[in-house]
Amino acid sequence: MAELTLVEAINRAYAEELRRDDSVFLVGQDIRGGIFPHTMGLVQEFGPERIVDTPIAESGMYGVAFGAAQEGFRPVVDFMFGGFSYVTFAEASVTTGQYYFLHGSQHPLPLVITAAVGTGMRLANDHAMSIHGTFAHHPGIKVAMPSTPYDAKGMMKAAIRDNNPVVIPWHMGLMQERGEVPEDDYIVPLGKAAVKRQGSDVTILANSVQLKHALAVAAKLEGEFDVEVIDPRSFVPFDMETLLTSLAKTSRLVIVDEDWESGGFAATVSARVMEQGFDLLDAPVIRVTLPNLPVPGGYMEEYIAPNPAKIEAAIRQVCA
Amino acid sequence: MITDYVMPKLAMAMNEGTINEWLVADGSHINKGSPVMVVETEKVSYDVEAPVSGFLHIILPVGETVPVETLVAKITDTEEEWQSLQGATAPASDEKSTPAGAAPVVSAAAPAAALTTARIKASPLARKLAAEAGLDLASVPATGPGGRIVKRDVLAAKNQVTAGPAAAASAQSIRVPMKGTMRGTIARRMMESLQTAAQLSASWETDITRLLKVRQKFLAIEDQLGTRVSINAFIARAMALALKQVPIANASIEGDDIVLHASVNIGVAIALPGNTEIDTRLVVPVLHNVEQLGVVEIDKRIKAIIARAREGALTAQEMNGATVTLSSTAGIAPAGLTSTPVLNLPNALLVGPSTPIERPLVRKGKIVVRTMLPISATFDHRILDGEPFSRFARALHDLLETPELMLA
Repeated sequence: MAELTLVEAINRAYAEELRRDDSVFLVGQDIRGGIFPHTMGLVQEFGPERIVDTPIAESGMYGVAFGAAQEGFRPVVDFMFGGFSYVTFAEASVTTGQYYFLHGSQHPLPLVITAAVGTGMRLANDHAMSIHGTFAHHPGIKVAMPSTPYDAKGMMKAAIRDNNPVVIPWHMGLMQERGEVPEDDYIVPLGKAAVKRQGSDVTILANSVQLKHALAVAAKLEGEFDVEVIDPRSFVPFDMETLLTSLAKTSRLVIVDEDWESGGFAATVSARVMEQGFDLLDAPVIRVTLPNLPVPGGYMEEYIAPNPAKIEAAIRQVCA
Repeated sequence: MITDYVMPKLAMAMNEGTINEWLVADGSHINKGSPVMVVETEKVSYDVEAPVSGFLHIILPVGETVPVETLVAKITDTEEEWQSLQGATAPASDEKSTPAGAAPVVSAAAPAAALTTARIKASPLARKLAAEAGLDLASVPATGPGGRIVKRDVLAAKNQVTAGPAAAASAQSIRVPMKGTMRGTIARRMMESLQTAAQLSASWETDITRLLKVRQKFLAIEDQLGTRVSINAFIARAMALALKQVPIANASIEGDDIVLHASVNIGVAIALPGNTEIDTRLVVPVLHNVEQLGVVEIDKRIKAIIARAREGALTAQEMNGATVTLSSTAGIAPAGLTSTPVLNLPNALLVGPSTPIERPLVRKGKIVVRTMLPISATFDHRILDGEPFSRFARALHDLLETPELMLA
């Protein structure tokens, strides 16, 4: 089994699916050359017809993917940075999500939206914001995010094969994260969370870079608090069963999420836990999220992004 | 328009306040400037006024202790706005609170009633476990944040029940809440005092046999004076005169400076019954400008502040501005008791007389029986050294032993 970085794993997923299915193609800006290395080398094998570079015109770029999906193709549209998807957000969220329903469940729209997201690179705003919560808000779109190279490959393959529109952002902080990735043709099913660490005192729900932070904090607090860590992996559909099973054991929940606090993914999960698991709770759910501020550039980023210190403080608060 | 009504900052050092009473019922119309709630902070109760006129929408119930600037109520211009708030956020007070539009509640029993019927705070899991175990949550001591009953509390209560009545009876612990109570304030202040000041204590005995005779003369004309002058009044007078001789002992630290106070304001420590039958409370109201007063006037004022302390009617002015502390344990402590009192910051000095004791003393070569007053004192060595403190102690000693000197 090869040890790959997260971007190499995504690259493998693209290559395998491009080989397997002629209807799959990639469209984006600079994906033949590569600002990010996840599409490196693909144009050499699959040619410019299937690795399509576009001008800086997100609506046009997305229109290509949308129209192709209507015609039976399975495009992967790469926005480079997640914030750029907002340029064509009406099409990418509302029109895309509702397409299947508005066409009498007759015409699926099998496309994948992907982009790099996340804090940690001090890039600010459009270059650092998360998009999973915003897309998850709109009905009809699946949203998932890999935390490991293994998940990155399996999740991207699952997304490409899914008949629904699927958004797969990936976190820049994990770009060089290494992990074992099988050569096999496997998929990671969308909608299944992963229990990353067993514990009995408190459950931390965290994804991507924040999952890494949560696991580090859990290891640090060993002996003091027995921390269970769950990676939701998929935001839509969300694996409520795994979370409630965990809460039946721990009765305390901290949700770590790089989305904004207001109306974000953490808010949704928190509300659902109250609706479906109220009697399991021994303390109010605590969220560690971005405050409702634009993501600042430079070192200021550290003040608003979730980090191990904030996660530890939340654990201590919820376990008081 | 809807105006937020927040916990006001009533004193420089105020960080949080307790809502002791809502003077106006939820939904009543209030006028700008009229008292709306009673807030207790740092041992003093304040009537807090309405910042604007309108209809009162109460958010936090009586008994809540919250940080300054916390939203406690809203005031609406119109009744419709008030009703809209009812739908959105019902007041957190218990459901039996006075209905909208009813007459203002100002009865003295109201706060206590509201406290005892307040909603029990428990986590959902704790409620479920308690229901399953057939436990009454009211009987479960809470250890969670903000006095919330959590899972561990229910499990502990359950264990106590299953351990049997004999075991339960032999181990009845009593919990006295500290958070948000005067006990908590005293605890914090005492620790602050010990952690910040360089405290040095000394004790000695002063022969007050002659002072007691002088006092008898005051007692003989008690009716004319209008008060039965106490020894404490003489001690306060002597302290004022001794401090005039040693002004550095009547001082406090402000920023990077030592401030020598122009007048002698004596904070008198008064013990009060506690919130429960077990604990006690302590207040230190202030006698201002004691250097200008005679013993009779001092005595009257001490008795007046003790009476007001017991009624809980001390004003902020009466609680502020002490420059020195008098903390007497006379009559309570065993005769001859000495101690190392804790300074009442920011005062540089505390004088703590206790119960007098009769002792054989050698005077002019003869053994005589004299009444000795044990005095313990603590001073802040940051402000004054042993030399001025000793001069103060000597001056106080001489004034009490030779009361005629107080005529000076």
